[in-house]
Amino acid sequence: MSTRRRPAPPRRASRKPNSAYQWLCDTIASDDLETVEVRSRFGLPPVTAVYLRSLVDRERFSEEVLEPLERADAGRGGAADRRERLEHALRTDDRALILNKVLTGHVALYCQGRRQAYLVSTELDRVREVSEPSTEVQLLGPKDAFTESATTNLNLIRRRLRTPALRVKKRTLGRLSQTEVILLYLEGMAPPDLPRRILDGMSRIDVDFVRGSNDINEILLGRSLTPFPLAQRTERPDRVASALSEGRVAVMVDGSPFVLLTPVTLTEFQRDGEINLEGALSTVFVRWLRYIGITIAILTPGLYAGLLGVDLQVLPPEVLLAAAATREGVPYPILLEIILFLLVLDVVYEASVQSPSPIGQTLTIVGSLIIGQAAVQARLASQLLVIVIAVTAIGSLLTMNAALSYAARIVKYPITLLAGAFGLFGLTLGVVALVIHLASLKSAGVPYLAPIGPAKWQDLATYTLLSRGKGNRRTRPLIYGPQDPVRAAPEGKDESS
Amino acid sequence: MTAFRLSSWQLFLLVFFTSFCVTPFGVSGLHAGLGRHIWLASLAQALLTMIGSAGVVLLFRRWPKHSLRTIAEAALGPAGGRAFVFLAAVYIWVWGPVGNLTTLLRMIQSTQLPDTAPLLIAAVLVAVGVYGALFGPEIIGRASEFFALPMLPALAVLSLVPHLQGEFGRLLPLSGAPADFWFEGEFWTFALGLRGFILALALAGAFPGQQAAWPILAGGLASSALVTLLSLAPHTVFDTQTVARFQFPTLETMDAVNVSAFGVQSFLTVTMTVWHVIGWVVTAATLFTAAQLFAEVFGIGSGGTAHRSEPMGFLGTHRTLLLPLAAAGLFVAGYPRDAQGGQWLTYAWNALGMAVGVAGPWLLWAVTGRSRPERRSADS
Repeated sequence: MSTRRRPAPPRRASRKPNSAYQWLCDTIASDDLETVEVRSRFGLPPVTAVYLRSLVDRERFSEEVLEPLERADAGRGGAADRRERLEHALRTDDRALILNKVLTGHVALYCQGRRQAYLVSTELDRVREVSEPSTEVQLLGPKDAFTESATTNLNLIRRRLRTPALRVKKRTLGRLSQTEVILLYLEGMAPPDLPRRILDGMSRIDVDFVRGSNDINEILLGRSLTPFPLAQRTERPDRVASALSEGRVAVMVDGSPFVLLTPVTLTEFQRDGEINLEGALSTVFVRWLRYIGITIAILTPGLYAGLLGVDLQVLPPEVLLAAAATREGVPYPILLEIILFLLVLDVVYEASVQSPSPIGQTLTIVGSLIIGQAAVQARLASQLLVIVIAVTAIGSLLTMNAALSYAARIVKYPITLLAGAFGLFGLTLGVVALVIHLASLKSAGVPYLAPIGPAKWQDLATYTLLSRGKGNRRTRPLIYGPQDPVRAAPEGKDESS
Repeated sequence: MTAFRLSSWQLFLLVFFTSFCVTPFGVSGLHAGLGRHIWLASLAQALLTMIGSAGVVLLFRRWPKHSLRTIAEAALGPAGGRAFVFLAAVYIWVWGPVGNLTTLLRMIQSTQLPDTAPLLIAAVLVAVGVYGALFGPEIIGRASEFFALPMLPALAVLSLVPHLQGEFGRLLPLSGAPADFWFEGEFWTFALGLRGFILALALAGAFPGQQAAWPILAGGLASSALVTLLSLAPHTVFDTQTVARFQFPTLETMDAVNVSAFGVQSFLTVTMTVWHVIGWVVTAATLFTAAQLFAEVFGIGSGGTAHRSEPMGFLGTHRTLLLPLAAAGLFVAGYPRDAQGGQWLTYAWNALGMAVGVAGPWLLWAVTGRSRPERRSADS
């Protein structure tokens, strides 16, 4: 019967001035940096483990570092046995790499008298569980959403795209944050130059800190002064998988639960979630409701200001009298009235969005009901205005996309001002200017107004104005230039032949 | 520099919208004696369109890699060539920024809207036109496509509804030209389609290698043919009095539908909304084209870029000319139309259109058959 000695407990190593890891301690110089001397039970020279306590999973550290090192046996090859036990360890003397890895939760192991270090991954993977989407709720869609962990997010996508064509390209961005940014695309589907252009763009990014996917969005896609989103942010894995299958690319940022999809067009936002609707008719119905929603959100205040403030004679006498009756006693001009209450609407909206859920709901009720009612009773606003404001708010929410909703809320102001100043003339010219602006935008090289301008008739018929049953969609959206535009073989045709 | 990309559909729309746009120039009394056989004038217009366009088409098909300036210089010498392009630029400038804004001012004054300052509204229109012209024809074309989506079906419905009501007398002559202009010989002096076609080719012609591409020609010609047919049809069906009932036929049809039931007076609403979209397309396209042609004449830079994301020069390019041309157009449009010499200006403009749009291209085609224009430099 062999007697087994109890291992000596690991002890904090003294940071000797000229030890091999001293440079690491000096560089990080932080109180959560720990150095632990691990001694083997079988007589091997001690090893010093250097790591950041706040990043390391203690359990993994114990199982994957301490125990193997303690069991390393001099009689069974000594250092070779130790190497064998640290089978996943990376051996290097590259100081930059060592520093980088320690800062991402690895343990650096220094053997006595050696400059090289073994790097063992023990990072603390503290992420929340996969949960339901919070910003893109769908009645009939899947109930999983991305988390802050890129690994988890990749898993969610790979479960939906089990194809070897899925390419994952990783880059590290941010001098301070060292954030992992991942580009996803389908080989043979995405336009060949698109991933290359985005990777080139990533390599040119030189920032100190990457907070989330929106930072990458603005830096990478060259977002200008436009309020319109030039990339689609989503927290839904099914949406990303679907977009990849259409030849688009996705950019994932570790630490952000939102994935960027590019290119994107204005009409693409109105397709959100329609894959879960049954039949072409429902799809077209919902899509058109959204088009109407964004139109209402942008134009209703302008119509109110233009028709009641300037072009009164356009209205039939009965309508005019009814509208005038509601404004009786309101002390200031229509343009001022509508602008003031649009501002109130946006303040209430922003406050309710930024507040915790129960408070947000209360704010919405207070804003929409109490303030509106009180303003009408105090003759500060007309009843018609309250209706206009309510319709505008509902219309902007119908856009289904937060970024697009913000854009609609911003552009309604200049259009309302033009309409208030010049009536329907101003409203029309405001819309024309808006359309020029939209026509001049591009997302990753794709015109933002496509497939309307420039026209792609097949896409218009299938994905924009009308729709076809999911089984009858023969082609992918052509505006994105997929390498393989055929989605399904013609009915009855044997693909294998 | 990225080449402009214009599709046949975009050209179709540009020409189609252009043909809708009324300019207050016409030669009166040329064919008043035709009486109820006035449709002969429209038929002649259709023929004139085709024959006149053929000269432009043949010219650019023969010299696809050349601009109008290099062809004209090869045919007429350096000074003569530049003079020809200069006159073409003047024609287009008077047509768009001047004629368009004049029509707008007249329209506003005729509707007697209160609280509207006509010149201020015209200034806003021309400002939006400059904004579009800054981006170039590709963006103007895209915006036109966007507006065509709701407008074309609406116009089609408006044309059909009177038929459903059994009022064949309200068939819509879609030209949009007020009937009194027709009797002034509007159709005779310059075919609506031809006018748009000249613009289309001038737009495309600013960029070597594009102007004679078949999609461009197909789009322009298809639109010209459609507009010609639409304007011809009522003349062949109805007598003069019936046709003359419609001063603004589209709007009359709106009244037939009685959109007022929805709470808006259709006549004024359509005047103030649809016309402005069409007016903007013409203003932006003509401003760009005129600026481009003037820049060619004066040797200012070269063609612009299609998108803002590319380097966007302002000084030293055709864009430099946009603001002065727009401001001058606004000034001339505000000049009283009844002033002495106005009628002669109209005659001169129509003659200029025939010269640079019909006779000129035929002349250039005939002369350059014997001499080859110099190749343009790559950077232009």
